[in-house]
Amino acid sequence: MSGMNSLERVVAAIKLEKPDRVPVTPLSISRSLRVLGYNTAECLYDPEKMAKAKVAASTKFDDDSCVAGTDLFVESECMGSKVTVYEHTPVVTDYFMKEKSDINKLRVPDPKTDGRMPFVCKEIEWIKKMIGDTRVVVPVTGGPVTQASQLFGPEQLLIEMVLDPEWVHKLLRVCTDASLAYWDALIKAGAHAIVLLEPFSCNTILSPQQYAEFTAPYCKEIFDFSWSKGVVGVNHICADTSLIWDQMSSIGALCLQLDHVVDLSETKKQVGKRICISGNVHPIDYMLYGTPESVYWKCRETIEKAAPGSGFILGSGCDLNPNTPEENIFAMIQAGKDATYNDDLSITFVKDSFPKPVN
Amino acid sequence: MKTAAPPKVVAVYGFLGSGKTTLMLNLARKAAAANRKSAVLINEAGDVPVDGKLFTVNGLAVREIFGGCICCSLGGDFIETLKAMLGIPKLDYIFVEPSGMADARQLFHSIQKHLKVPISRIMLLDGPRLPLLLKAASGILTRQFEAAEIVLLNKVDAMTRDRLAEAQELLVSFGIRGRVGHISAKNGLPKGLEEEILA
Repeated sequence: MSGMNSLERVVAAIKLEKPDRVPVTPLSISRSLRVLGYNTAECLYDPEKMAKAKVAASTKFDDDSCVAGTDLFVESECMGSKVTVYEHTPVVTDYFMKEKSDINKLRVPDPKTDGRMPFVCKEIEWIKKMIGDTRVVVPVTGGPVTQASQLFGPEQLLIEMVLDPEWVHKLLRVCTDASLAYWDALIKAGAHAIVLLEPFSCNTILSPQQYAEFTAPYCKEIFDFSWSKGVVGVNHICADTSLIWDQMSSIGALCLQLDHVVDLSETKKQVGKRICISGNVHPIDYMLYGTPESVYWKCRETIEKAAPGSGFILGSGCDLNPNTPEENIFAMIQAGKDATYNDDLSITFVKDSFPKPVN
Repeated sequence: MKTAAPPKVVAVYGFLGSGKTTLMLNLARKAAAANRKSAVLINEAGDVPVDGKLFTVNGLAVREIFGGCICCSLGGDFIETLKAMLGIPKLDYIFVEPSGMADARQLFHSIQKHLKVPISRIMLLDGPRLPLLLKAASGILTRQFEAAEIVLLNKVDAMTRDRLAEAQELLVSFGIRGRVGHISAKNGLPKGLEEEILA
């Protein structure tokens, strides 16, 4: 099929059907704002400005998605952790819970009124007004375990997983309820898909057994809720995930978004017949410091590993740095445009848009 | 004309409560006492409350760098900031304190790849809590061990001789490859080690 718009192309990939060519969704969040000369701080509480910049960026680069929101601290900020806004990203700088008993002070946020939740919802409404259903409108959110680490501190959370797992489950219940409330509002605002950012659950931090106990059941609730509303859940974990791909693919998300450290040909072999995979070009080595030629050919290599058979969306392994050169983003998008699907779901590159880099 | 030598980059890292900020401040004070100029790059929210005021007292330039995402935060911003600091004239040391949850191996690899500067890599561990930490955070600690030139067991003044021996055995059983020492950071480093780090 030819002439798909971006939304149709991404949906085909997620359904493991035939897109016209490889869809591309670089994780361009704060980088997008630079297109109109903005930084994150000045847009955080101005959803119209934020939306205009995101749309301008996705239109300029011809990105198949338009990412709403900026970070994974929205939920924990609403629940009381202090967030400091640096030039291009807000960050938790003081954890709400000083003692375990502070769990009793936690309350599930109201997305209509609390913190930045209503601003992200408004941003989605603005984006939808501007581009309708032509590109995937996809907000980013924090996963329950990651939220818990932002409320109590990551090291303390790891220790309590050993000393007092029951208490950790109680905390994760509140975080999951926060996610469910927020996702409901994001869906009502018009999101086509929602990314659950759960970096705390990577193999470098949690064991596969801990993932099964502390992450999987709560994320499953969120992904199941989302799909019950017809909205696609995207399971994003940065860093190494190679020990948990099977689990990550079995909890209701329809897409795995993976970081540069994993080998996507292995991912494809293990789970590629049952779930769409997205990733995983190095956001620093290639996107920030590479050349258009090196980015293009790295993308081609990534496509060859994971695109045959469908179920693949080309992207960066994690959020692009705001200083990422625009030529490198164009080169990534071009690699997807050059990779067309044949009827047997094999890939043909219609041209070499960049010469191979000389090492 | 001979160009000035770049500042020495010293990374002090470890879990929350391991004493890395205390050790870093001690090193910076020693450097200042010897009329050497230092700067500090911090990627941490929490631990000892480090603010501009504290470091101004010690005559240090401080850059804080925080990222959005626990595993990726130390990427481009960290490298770009360190690159800018390497250009500060007449600087002798840059003390780098990555987040306690940093994937140190990946971070140092990226710094060396893109900035081509050597880094002294000192990992601190909270000695009394070592058995618990190894149980709770073996994944991230393994990556940190792999990146360390020196692993220092801190707060040994709060440990009995038996507990210290037990902790050292635990480290051996964990397959620590680098040098292992023990200190009490609040009392400063043993003289030889301090001189080695600041050499």
